[in-house]
Amino acid sequence: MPTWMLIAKGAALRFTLGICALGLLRLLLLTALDMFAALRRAGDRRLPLGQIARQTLSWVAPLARLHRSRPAYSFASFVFHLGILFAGFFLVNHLDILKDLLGISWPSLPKPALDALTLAAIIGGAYLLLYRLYAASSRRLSKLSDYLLLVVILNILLSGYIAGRPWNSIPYDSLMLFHTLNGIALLLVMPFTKIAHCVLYPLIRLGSEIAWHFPPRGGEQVIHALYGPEGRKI
Amino acid sequence: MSLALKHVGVLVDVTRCIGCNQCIEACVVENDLGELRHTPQQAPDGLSDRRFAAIVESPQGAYVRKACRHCLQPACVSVCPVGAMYQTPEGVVLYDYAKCMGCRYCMMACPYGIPRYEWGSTAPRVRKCNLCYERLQNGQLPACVEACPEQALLFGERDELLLEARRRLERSPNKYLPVVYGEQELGGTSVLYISPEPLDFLGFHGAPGDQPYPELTWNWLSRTPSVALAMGGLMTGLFWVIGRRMQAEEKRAARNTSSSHEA
Amino acid sequence: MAAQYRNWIKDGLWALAIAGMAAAVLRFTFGLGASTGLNDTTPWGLWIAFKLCFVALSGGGFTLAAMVYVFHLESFRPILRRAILLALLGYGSFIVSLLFDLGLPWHIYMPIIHWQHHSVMFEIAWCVMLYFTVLTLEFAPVILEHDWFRHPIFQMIYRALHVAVIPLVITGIVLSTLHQSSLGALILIMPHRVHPLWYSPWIPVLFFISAIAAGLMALVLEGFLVERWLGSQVKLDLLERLGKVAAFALALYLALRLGDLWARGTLPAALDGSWQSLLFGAEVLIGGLLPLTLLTSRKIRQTREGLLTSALLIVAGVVSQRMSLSLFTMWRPAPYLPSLAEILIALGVPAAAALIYLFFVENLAVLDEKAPLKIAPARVQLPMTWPFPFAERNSLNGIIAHRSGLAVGIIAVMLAVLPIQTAASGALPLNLVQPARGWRILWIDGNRAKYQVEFAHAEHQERLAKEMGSSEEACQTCHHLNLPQDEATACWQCHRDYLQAVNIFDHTRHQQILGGNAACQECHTVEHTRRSAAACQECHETMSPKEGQAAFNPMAPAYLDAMHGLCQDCHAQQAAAQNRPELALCKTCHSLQENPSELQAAIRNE
Repeated sequence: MPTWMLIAKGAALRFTLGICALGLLRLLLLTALDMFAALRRAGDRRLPLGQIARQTLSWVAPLARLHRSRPAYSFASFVFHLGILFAGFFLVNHLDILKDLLGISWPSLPKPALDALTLAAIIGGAYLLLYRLYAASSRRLSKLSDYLLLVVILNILLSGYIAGRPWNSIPYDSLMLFHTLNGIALLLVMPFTKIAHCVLYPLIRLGSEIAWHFPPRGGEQVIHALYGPEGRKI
Repeated sequence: MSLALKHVGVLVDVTRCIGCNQCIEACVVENDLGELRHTPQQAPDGLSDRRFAAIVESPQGAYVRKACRHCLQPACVSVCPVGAMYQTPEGVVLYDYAKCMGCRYCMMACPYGIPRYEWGSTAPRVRKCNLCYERLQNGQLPACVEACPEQALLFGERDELLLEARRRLERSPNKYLPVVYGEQELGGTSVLYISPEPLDFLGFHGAPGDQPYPELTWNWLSRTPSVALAMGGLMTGLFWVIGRRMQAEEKRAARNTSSSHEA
Repeated sequence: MAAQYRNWIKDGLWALAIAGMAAAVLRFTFGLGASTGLNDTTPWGLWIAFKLCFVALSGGGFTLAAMVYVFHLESFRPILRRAILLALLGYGSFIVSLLFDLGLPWHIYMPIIHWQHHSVMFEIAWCVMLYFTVLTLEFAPVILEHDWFRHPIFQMIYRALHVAVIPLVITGIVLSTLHQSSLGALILIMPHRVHPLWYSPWIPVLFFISAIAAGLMALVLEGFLVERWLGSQVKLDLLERLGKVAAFALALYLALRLGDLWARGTLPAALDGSWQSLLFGAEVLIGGLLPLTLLTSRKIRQTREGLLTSALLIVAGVVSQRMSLSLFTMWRPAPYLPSLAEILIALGVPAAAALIYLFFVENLAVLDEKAPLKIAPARVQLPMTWPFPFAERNSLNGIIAHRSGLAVGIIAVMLAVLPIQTAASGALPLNLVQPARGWRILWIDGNRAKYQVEFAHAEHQERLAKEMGSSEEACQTCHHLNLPQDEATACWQCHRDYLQAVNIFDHTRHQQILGGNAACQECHTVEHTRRSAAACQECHETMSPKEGQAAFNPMAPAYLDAMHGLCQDCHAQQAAAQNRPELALCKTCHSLQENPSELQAAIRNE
């Protein structure tokens, strides 16, 4: 068996998926825990829950109100996410691995369709990378990890796309090894980087609303410092 | 329902066995044991959770049938904490899955290493020969005995089998060693062997002696009640005696101090 | 001890406990076979050995209770609660380990219903059950002293327990006497398994006395550890007096053990130089006589180092005795190696017990009867607190984040190292074949079980070449598939597993030969996955699948099946053709090497 397949079917993948799935789950639970603590501190104050839900949903749509100022960026980002999700979860080879590992599977999508989506995602991703590099406002907000993550994702998409093309001259096994290693790296860092938004997304809007409405924990420490642990409640 | 026979047994004549495995096949069909699977838990002797009996070769190359001996005083029955291993009045040693808790003490204690375990199952059973007890109740022979084409296996009353074994030993003394294996071993077993070669290799680790295994434990276990009573009595007594002494001493000390005060 | 170290140690214990839990999931999902190294010839393994040790090291509980309550040695009261807690957790570990070990743990209540007075195990079941209850009742007051239990009902129970303490203690002593000794009596019925240097008809008494020595010395060790943990002064005078009592028990134990071996004439076996005799010697000398000598000297006994050394040696000696007789030196015809999951469960249970111990010590009045211990909160930054990197030091959120992060890491490692995939697919673990040895005559013993076959390779080769007139054809009779550049590939190179078929299809090589990426379509006509690959015989016309095999079957059958299949067919034919029925008998090939059959002797002479 070639090396990449040993990795994709063996202990390394089980470790990676363990870190990724459990790490994301832990993140979700911890964030929820923190929010409950904040809500408890808040007492009887009410949150505009309906509005939060509506806003959270509206963010998913391309060209929503928030993105109207940057239509190209918004569209590229949408295509990029679409490609990742579909190629990641509906490619027959990926589903085969999942079936071997967990015994679960769902219908796959035809390869030509996924190839087209992947290509679109690559172009969209390239646009995002260029935007980060050349738009001053975006560059100033970017950290090294933002570039690296984007590069890793582009690596995965590109190598996966090229590996299936008959015209490429790079050996299939080498490309797949590159693809697998980048994929494993991405899964491993997911719970520790901003990619965690894949599970935290539904809570982001809620979290910022809580932070906006209710006193932060810092206030408690000030009270403790002034009046001692038995001090007045805010 | 009890059998017409008083104490059943099987006589195995090693000289007659040709190693054809038909008894094993009949056993597999009768007990629905299914196809043989190689597992890492199996012992090299061929017995497993799917095989109650096996033909093994003696060091000199004779075919010897290995299966439960149905001891008269079975170690497995004596060690079972719940009575899942039990002996019928006819001397057949049976296993009751409904009671078993899976401690595997029977497997550890058997001097022949016969009982096997369903290691691959999440609700495992102990597996071993049951001498086709259901068939016996219907008046049939055990499947292996019925299947043997060479009459190497003989089923019947244990006493009569012993007589038959001795008759064969007398008739052809050159053919057999002058012992009936299972007559004295461990206080006797229901499955008897006559053989041209020593059968010590059938034991888990060398030939088991003539002492019945349950006695080894019973020597200690029978003393348990007296040990408990003695220990309980001793401890209560010590508590009381030492306590009284200390009280007396304290009183004396108190009196001494008070008297010294007066003085 | 610095808060940092305390945290690390707790992390380590948590890691072990979590790893044990992950292994436990494997154990209960797939059964004993998939999770342990136990087998038909070794039905009791590591877990039983550990359980014997748990109970032996819990012997301090009843001994100290006897010293304080029965012998009225009130000076030992300050360490009584701790002794009872240690025993409680020791027995707790025993019971929890038992749940893993039992094949049908949900039947654990059966001994309560079905009484079998002739079974030692039955007696142990009852005694352990009752003694665990007694220990719980003895320890309950410590818990009831907590602020949570101010309610009058709890106060009533507290007073009742206080009144009942003497009967409880005496019941506990009687129960301990019975089952500490009966655990030894378990092996009385196994003279065919236990090594003669450890087997003894006096083993019940030996177990009882050694449990007193080991239990007391475990308390000494615990004293050193817990006081180190808290950074306080060791109560050396108390521990020293425990050492004195233990020395008496140890002396009695050694005298009885050696005396019994001598009386039964087994002692010379201790000098025969086998590894068992060396282990026995180390156990008796280093784990027995040496600490006994140390303890007899008052000067040594009263120093920290002397007492600690002798405590370590005695505990090691008694643990060695329990482990040796139940694990190391037990006679077994097939090898037994505990699996990773088995080891993790064995270690995870005491690790969890240690965490419970620390929890009780830090929150209840275990060490000091008057007030619970006020341990300074650990003012350390916990490393794994993402997504609360600035969580307050030692806040509940920070601790939850840290420990859950640890859990994710450990579980992921467990997913990688435990044989989950093989267990789930029902596949057997890999059982790699060992190559045959020899040249002209091959000794074939694929699983090194010593049931080897002596195969006259050269003789077969020469005879076949003569019959067929071509040596190449002769080789190909058996060497049916050869690796590139190979003239005669050995059987084990493809039939790699002893018991199961393995995939030997070389994808990379096929790809290279067919022309790289452009040639995928040659085999994968629809999708690029294995399911859609073309059947092998579409190119390899000679490679027709046998009956019952799938068309796409790059599987090499198990070594066992391959060898039997190869030899048996030909032997059966020849037996019929030459009218030599002995050729088709099992023993023609399978006779033990010490006694080669006549046929083999004849082959060897030719």
